[in-house]
Amino acid sequence: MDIILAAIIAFFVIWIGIIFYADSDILTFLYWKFGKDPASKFHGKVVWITGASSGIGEGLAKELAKCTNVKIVLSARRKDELERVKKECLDLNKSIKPDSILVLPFDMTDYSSHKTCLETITKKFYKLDILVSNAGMSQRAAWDEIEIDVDKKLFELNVFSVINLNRVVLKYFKANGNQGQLAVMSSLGGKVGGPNASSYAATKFALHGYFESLRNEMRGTKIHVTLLCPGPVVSNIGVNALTGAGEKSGSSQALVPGKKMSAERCGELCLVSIGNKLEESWISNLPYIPIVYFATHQPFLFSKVFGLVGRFAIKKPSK
Amino acid sequence: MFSCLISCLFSAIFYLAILPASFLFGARVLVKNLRGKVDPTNEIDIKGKTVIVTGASDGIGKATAEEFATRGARVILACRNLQKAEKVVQDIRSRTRNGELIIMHLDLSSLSSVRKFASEFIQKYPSTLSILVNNAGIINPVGVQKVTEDGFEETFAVNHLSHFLLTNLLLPELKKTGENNPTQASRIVIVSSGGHSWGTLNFHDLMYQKTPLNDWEFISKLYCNSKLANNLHNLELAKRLRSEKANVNCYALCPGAVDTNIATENGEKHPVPFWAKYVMFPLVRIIMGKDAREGAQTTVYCSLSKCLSHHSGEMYRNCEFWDYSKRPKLSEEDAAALWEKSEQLTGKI
Repeated sequence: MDIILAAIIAFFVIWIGIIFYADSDILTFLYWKFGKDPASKFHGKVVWITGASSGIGEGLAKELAKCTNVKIVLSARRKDELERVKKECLDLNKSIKPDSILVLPFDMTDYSSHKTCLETITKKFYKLDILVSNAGMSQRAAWDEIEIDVDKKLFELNVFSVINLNRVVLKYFKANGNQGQLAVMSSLGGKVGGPNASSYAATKFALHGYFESLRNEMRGTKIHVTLLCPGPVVSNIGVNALTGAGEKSGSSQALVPGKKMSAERCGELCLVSIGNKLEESWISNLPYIPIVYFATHQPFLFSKVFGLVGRFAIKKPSK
Repeated sequence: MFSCLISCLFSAIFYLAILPASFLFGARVLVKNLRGKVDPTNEIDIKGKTVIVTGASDGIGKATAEEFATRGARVILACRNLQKAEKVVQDIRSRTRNGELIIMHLDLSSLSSVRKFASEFIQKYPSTLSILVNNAGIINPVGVQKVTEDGFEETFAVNHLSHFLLTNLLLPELKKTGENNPTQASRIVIVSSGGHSWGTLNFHDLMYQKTPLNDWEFISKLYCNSKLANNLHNLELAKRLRSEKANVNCYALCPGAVDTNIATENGEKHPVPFWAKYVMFPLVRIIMGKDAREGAQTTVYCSLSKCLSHHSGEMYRNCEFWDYSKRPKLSEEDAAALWEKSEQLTGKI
């Protein structure tokens, strides 16, 4: 009896310890710590990354470049930035052939280009295995100070363009052996609605809705859906975030306190998640992983605690 | 998977253990702070004075003896188990060098022992008795009825009759000290119990020797009756002392729910019901329970507080007067009747 109790307490303490120590959720941490090197998972795969010209997309591309025999498609709007990223990837791993990395610039919101882009890829690399829908934009303003056009713009890019692209790719997956993987960049803001970024939270919650439905439709097939939820990461998302009136905020200060994770580390953990076909991964420095665990598993207690301390943690957005 | 498991564990630990425990201990702190306290700056001086404490070998009696010793009194520990009393003296001495601790044998289950003790005390320490604390008491388990060598039911005999006789035998001493100290009345303190409110006295068969005893589940009727007798004794005693204009006051008290060994002797025959043992008693113990030292506070209050110098015949609890609205009214007729009956019974042998 005492042994059982001790075991339960030890189990409890260990896992709580991991939550506070790791910079990701438990499963992702275990796969990262004890799993096989993700490089082996991407061997011979073709990976398409949108929003690869900066931030997490760039970090992800560089981590992927460290793997052998992987074909990478880099997409964004800015061709010159994409070329820079390609060059840096080639510098990182001398064994990659330059034509293993395809620079494919396009605008996510140009829906007519989605099919053409896919055709370009399949013509060059003969297949597509993984789509990482990472391109996206943020927004910062008090809830009621947002113009409705800003919401529409945000949904256009973060949700509708993503959905459209994924539908095009899904049709391809279904027609080609009913296999493939769709990885989508959500956010911890898509798990817990944080203050002063309501439209952003809404777009990320929308992605969860769309892709969890899709995952359930794809049960039993070899098509996997991975939702990636990072916390604050060093990128241009803050600088380019829309204010309530639709302008760029120009401020890179994070909405929430704490050290931002580097894009490379985020990319590394995203690869662990995608490579191991996890359903959802949370990737963040302290204290957000424990907070999100608390908020999602103990909503009542979280509400009471946040009600007491939250007002001190929330910063007002600068106009 | 892991997070769900942990969340379950956390919920179980928090909602089933931490939260209820916090409520219980919060209640305990609240209850403790609402109680009255002994005020050591407002006490009569008992340095060098003589105090008798019955049942001083354990529990509340031991704590009471220590309190008196610390204040420099000469404490007579009147106990039936002299070895236990020796250990108590050693223990008290490890904490205080003050006062005098004297052990004398007193077995309250035998009226002859009471008489022997009284005459020995009067011989050794004449005209010195300032305070008599009738503290000793027993609880027999539910359904257990024992008879003393005098033919009385044990609980009634020890808790009431023997103390009644002891008080009467020592009353002349107390009155003398009262006369010699007009500013400081002698005191008789009777340790009763809140259980008295459930007691009844059937004067035709006070000790259930003829009528069958249909006892209760978790507390013995015999104990409650004996405590009611204590209170009625206090009432009638005060009345008589007043009419004699003696400089002696008497007080009864309820020490509260105190964690002592009173009930652990011979308790295996009639098991306490499950719900009482694992739910009610623990709850009472956590929220309202006192240790022996806290339990002795009201005794010390009644014995020493100057606030009570001109009161007599009342009942106290948590170092305060126990409001009449919160306990049943005691009958003066019953008090007088009990006195007569007790005189009869104790005068027999």
